[in-house]
Amino acid sequence: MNAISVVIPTLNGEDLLARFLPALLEALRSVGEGHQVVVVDNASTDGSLPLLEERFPEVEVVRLAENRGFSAAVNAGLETVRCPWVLSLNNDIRVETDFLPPLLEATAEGALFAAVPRILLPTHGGRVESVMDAEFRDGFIEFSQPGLAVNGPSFPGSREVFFAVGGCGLYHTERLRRLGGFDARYHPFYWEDIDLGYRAWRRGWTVKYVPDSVVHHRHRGTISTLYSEAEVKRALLKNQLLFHWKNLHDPAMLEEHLHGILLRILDEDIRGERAFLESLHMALEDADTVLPAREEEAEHDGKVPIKRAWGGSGRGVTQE
Amino acid sequence: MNVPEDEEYGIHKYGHDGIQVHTINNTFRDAGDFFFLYSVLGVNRAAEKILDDFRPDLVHIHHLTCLSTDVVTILRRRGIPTVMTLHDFWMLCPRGQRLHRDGTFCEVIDRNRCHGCIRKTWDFLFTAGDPDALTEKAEMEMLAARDDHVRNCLSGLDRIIVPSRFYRQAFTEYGLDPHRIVVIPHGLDAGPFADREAGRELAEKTRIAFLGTVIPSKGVHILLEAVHGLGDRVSVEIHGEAPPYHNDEEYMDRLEAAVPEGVTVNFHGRYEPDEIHRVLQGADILVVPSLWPEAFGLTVREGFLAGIPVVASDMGALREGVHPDRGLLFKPGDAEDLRRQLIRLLDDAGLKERLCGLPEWVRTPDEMAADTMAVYESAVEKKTDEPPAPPDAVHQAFSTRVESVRAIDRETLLKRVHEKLERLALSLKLDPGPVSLLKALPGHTWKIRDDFQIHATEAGWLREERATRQEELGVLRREITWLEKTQEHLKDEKAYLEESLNRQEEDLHAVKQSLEESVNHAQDLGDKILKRDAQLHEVSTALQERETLLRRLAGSTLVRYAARLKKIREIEAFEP
Repeated sequence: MNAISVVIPTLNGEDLLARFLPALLEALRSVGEGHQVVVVDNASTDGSLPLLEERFPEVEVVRLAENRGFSAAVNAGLETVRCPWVLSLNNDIRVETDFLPPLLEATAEGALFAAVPRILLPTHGGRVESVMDAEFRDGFIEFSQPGLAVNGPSFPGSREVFFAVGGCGLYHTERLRRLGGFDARYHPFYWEDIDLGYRAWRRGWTVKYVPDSVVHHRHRGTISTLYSEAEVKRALLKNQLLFHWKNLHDPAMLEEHLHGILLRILDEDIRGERAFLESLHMALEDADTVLPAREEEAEHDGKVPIKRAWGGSGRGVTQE
Repeated sequence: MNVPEDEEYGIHKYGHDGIQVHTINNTFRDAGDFFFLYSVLGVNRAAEKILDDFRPDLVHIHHLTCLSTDVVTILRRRGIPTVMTLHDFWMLCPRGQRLHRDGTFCEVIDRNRCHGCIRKTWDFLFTAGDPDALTEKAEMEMLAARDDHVRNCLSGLDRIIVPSRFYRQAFTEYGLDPHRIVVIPHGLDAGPFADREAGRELAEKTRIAFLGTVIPSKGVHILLEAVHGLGDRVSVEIHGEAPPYHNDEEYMDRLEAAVPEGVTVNFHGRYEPDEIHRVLQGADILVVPSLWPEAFGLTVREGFLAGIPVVASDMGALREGVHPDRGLLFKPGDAEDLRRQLIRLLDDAGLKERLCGLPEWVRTPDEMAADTMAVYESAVEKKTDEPPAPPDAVHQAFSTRVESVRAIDRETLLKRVHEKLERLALSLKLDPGPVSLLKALPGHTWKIRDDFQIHATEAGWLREERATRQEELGVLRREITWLEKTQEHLKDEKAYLEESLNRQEEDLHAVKQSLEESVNHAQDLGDKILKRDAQLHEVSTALQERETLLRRLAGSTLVRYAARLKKIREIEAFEP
């Protein structure tokens, strides 16, 4: 059962693949045979494909005709996955060669949906990226990364987390497929991984943080340099709204959410700003694409580890 | 810029020599980790604002420390041709100059060693959170991440300018395409040095000068060590200020303690760039004892322009500037060797004469400008020629969507959101009632905001007005102070004049008195002269009388003798 599949979406990441694939392959070899590594190429124009062919012939390549973004690429890779557990891995993650055994050990837990390693951000003082908490506040579910706080705790112990951050997570293949993989409706990025984690919890599955498994996220700040601040902000807000409309079922929380929306419009309006209004407009345009998924989600109502910032608790919410 | 009281990442504009300068305030208030030393989100955002405002045709970067290396990526995304001049090794070495902590030059960059060196420099940036949790491996990852980031930054530049062939070599070894690197030595204005002999001050001893920032990497201590025992022949003139160097604030104290016995060492402190020619007029030999190889060696050229011999460390750009026969070189960090070279110069007047620098050895600003212009042109050409980066379809689609929603006017946006939100509320089985609140929005909050805006604007004007008035008040105050001072001065002058008038009157009186005395004295003398005249007259009369008497006596005697003679002749003539 130690054989796993790895899906790596990539776009013009020739140098990253060349540098980081060897450590991954070594890590896989160290835990047995029969692994599968799938690189999904989002129509790269650099030398990624020749590199894979020449230097990593054991790697399977799924070529997309055009760049379809992160979620679609992982899903395309997921179709080819043969093993019961699949590691979704960004191309800018360098794994420690001994990162796999602790993750594999965690899979013994029957209800596990995903195990997430201790993802360190060398660009953030080596702090932990993968500890995710959530809070329901003023009508919105907000996530937080306490591991990134300056002088915050370093989270050496294993624990449950709200979701497995998109960069690196070992997923139960069957369960991931049942959830339909990463939801590409969260265009262009953000909230797709939260959506997965949340829906897994509602089904009674868990997401676990495994600190003994260490990887390094050497991200280039691609989003902050390629996308403008305005774009990043709107992507976050739009997808946060879509997430709520797709997944929030507790009537009290939903009502609070609607009031929260109105309050934010007012707050923003009085300051002469309109980023939220614009994001809301975009989300409302897309609402019809996510609303049908509500019905399916309604069948499940497992407890999700979300703290409530104030007041009582709604259905499906654990008080902590 | 580093103004603690200003807004972090705030943009400040001012004019300098007719050039508009924008500064971004970064006090490192947010510095929580090593990453912050080369990538700062707040600076990125500020740079975007400046670019939106200014829309340059080309950007020439000179350094990115305290700013953000992401600026290059931002420029590339905007398709703006970008040129960068590399002035030090900051891109390769976070400490900037490739110096080990003991001051020796780091010949081969080895990240396994860097880890310790850098950790000791910025310990607080490496112990984020739980220091025990941070493994050496994790720290190496941080350095590797910086390398990635920097390589990515450098690869985004269209042209790279370096001031020396040595630098091109160093960055080619690092892996940059040598064809993108252009060597343009700095040009210096020889004008201020033109009458370099005329203003030269002469001194009893040979004056050895150091010019530059007084920090360990500049090797000032090597110079002090080298002049041991030369006190009766030389003095040392240290020009430049001594800022802290990587938290070391005691270098100056150590230097003062290291002054050799019997040697005069003058620490002159800071000098202005336009004083250099004057500073060098008070020097006979220039020593450049840097422990790092320098990117160019500006002071070497200043020594040439000043027409004095230069002795420099035999390394990097210094070797390139001084070689082959424009000065003397010594083994970097070797005080004994420097001492030998100095004694050679002191003993051999012919050598000293031969090594006096000439303006021809230094390139002019015009030459430098022409070369730089050519690089700009080639950067623009390259940008025009190269195919634009393949558009990222995902980003493109979202970007267009954001653009179009931003273009919708507020009223329309509110109206549409209102309708759609009502429908959504129904779909979510919620009471859509509260959504009608949005109908009240157009007038109400908008008016409060407008009013606020008006008041805020007015307050702004008042603040400006107050500032202007305060400025005027300041001018008037200064004027009053000046007038008061002038008044004081005039009072002093009046007192002085009165005093000197008194003195002159006294003098005049004294002169008068002495004149009167002189007149009296003259009269006395006159009287005495008259008396003496009378006496003389008497004497002369007596003499005349005596003369007359004598004449008469003589006459009668003569008559007698004549009669006697006649008788004698008659007797003689009697012939018997």
